[in-house]
Amino acid sequence: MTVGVSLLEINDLKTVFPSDIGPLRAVDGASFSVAAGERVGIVGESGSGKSVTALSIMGLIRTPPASVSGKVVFKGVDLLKVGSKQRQRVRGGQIGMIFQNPLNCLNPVMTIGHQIVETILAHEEIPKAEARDRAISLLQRVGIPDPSRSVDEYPHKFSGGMRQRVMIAMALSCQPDLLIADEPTTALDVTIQAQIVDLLMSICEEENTAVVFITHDLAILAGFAERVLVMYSGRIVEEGPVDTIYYGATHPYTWGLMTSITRLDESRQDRLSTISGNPPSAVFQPSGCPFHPRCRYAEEICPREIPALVVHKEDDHPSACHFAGALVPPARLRQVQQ
Amino acid sequence: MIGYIARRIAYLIPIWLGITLLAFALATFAPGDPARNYFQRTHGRQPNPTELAQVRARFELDEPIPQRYLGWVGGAVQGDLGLSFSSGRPVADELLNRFPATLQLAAAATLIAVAVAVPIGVLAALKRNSWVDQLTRGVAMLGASIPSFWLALLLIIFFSVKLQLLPSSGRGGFDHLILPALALGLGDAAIIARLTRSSLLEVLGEDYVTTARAKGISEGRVVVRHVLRNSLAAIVTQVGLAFGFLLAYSAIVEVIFVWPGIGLLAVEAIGQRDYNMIQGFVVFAGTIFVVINLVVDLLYLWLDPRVTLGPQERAAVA
Repeated sequence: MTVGVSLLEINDLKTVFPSDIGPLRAVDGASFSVAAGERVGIVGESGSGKSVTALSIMGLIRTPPASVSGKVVFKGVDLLKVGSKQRQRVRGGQIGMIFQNPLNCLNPVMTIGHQIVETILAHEEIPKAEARDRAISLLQRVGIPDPSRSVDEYPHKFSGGMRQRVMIAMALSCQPDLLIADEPTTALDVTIQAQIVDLLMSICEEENTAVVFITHDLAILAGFAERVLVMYSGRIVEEGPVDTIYYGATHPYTWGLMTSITRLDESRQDRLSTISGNPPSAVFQPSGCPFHPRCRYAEEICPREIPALVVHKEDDHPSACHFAGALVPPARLRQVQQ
Repeated sequence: MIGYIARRIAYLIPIWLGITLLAFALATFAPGDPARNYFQRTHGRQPNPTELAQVRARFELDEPIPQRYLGWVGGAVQGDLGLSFSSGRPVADELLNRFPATLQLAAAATLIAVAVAVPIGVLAALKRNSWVDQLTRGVAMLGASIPSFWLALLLIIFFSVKLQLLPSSGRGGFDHLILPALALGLGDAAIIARLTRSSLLEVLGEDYVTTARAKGISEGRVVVRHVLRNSLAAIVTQVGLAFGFLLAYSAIVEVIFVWPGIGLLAVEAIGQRDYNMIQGFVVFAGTIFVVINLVVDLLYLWLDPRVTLGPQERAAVA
């Protein structure tokens, strides 16, 4: 699906942690790309490897004990091959990151201004006063009230939503080409979620910053992402433009995620739809298609062969299912899509 | 801020009164008649009843016990701890004369403890479960288990007797300070090193450390400005406690090295049944200990910006 030159190209990324019961394959051969200025959503259950993918791109996985292999090509440079100094320059400078829990993400004993200034000074040689002025205007930009006073406040003076705004200001302080947002709204309540998504959208559109937005909530990506990657068991199992994923998904796992979206207008008697079973263990992965033990369409080939992420002939986008395009989606999917 | 400080100081008053009560009871209900002892020691014979009454009057031992306590506490508040039974001089003066030596020793010991412990603790945390960590764990276990008096004797045997490098007793130049400070400081170093390690490990798991790394600042800066800085409250608490203990409980090491501090003074007083001196020492040491705890509490204001909040405000934020 790569259009033009991609900003970030992930190829066969594997991140493996040692564990007492065997190697834990948190990311197991994920491949995808992000174009400059593109907004990409990665969606999947807990444990599907979304966050570890993000941390692997950032170089925030401790190796050893873990091992990260494959390719993470950012602006033509494979980040897995460069030294730690260069990695450090990319991190925070060209790739910014925000996290799931804004309440714990800011250093409690440092003023927010100091934390932003520290980021700027790590990447740019400018006077401290100038960095501070930029911090104030960033705070203004992300909607922190009274920024010239707030800049000297400690994080505990701010609410969760406000702290996430501070995190966004910090992540964008060096005008990165890419912002990785790892479940940035999960810890926030619904109204604040929408505000944060809108803020990310407007800033990134303005600055032409590419975004990788990681979430378990497909619904939140609807208005934000241009392209959606569905991740399962450490791999990308389906990808496509947001509308294709919403209206023409062909992977049974994506259907499961879609039908799990609740609608306000549904009658309360209906039980919430779920995907039966649990995500597979990253240590003891099922043979063949990792989804087959939970898949109601599974057939004899599924436990034998791992389906490749390719465009099937009956289909219009890559889907890692042996029967992509040939299966009839569940009836409930229609309801949700409306 | 002012409210916080005032509250902390107010808490000290009942604690301090408790200390005086215990110190007074300890000395008053101990066996033996201090007045008779004093007379015997100064005159070499038993006193007759008139002489005994005179001595009792001089040391204010002739009043009823509650009155004596109140009079003594009233004096203590103003810095008057009564007269020493052995020298006849004011207890407070003797303690203050000897205190600088103890302060010097305790400060040197604390300095050694911190200088040894914090880098080791940081290293052990950063290299957790490596051989460095295992080695420091073993050494720290050993260090915390060795009694200071035994370590003191070992140090004397090695550095004074065998190598003849350092003096083994008395207070003089810097060289006199080294052995007693080591004997006192190394045990605390072991404890502080382990505490530094564990509090660092706790902070290393925090999300804001990941944030700091994600910002692209150097690893050294991550460790010092973010990890160590957030562990500091726990480390400072332990160091403060250690310093307080060193000031108040360095008696054994002071005796071994004949270090003329308040610990040695107290041990001498016990030998001479100088009850006024003993109770004066207990109150003095207790007061120092309590004051150091107060100072540590106040340091939190500087170490953690969240501390200024009262409990209600805190609940509202959380």
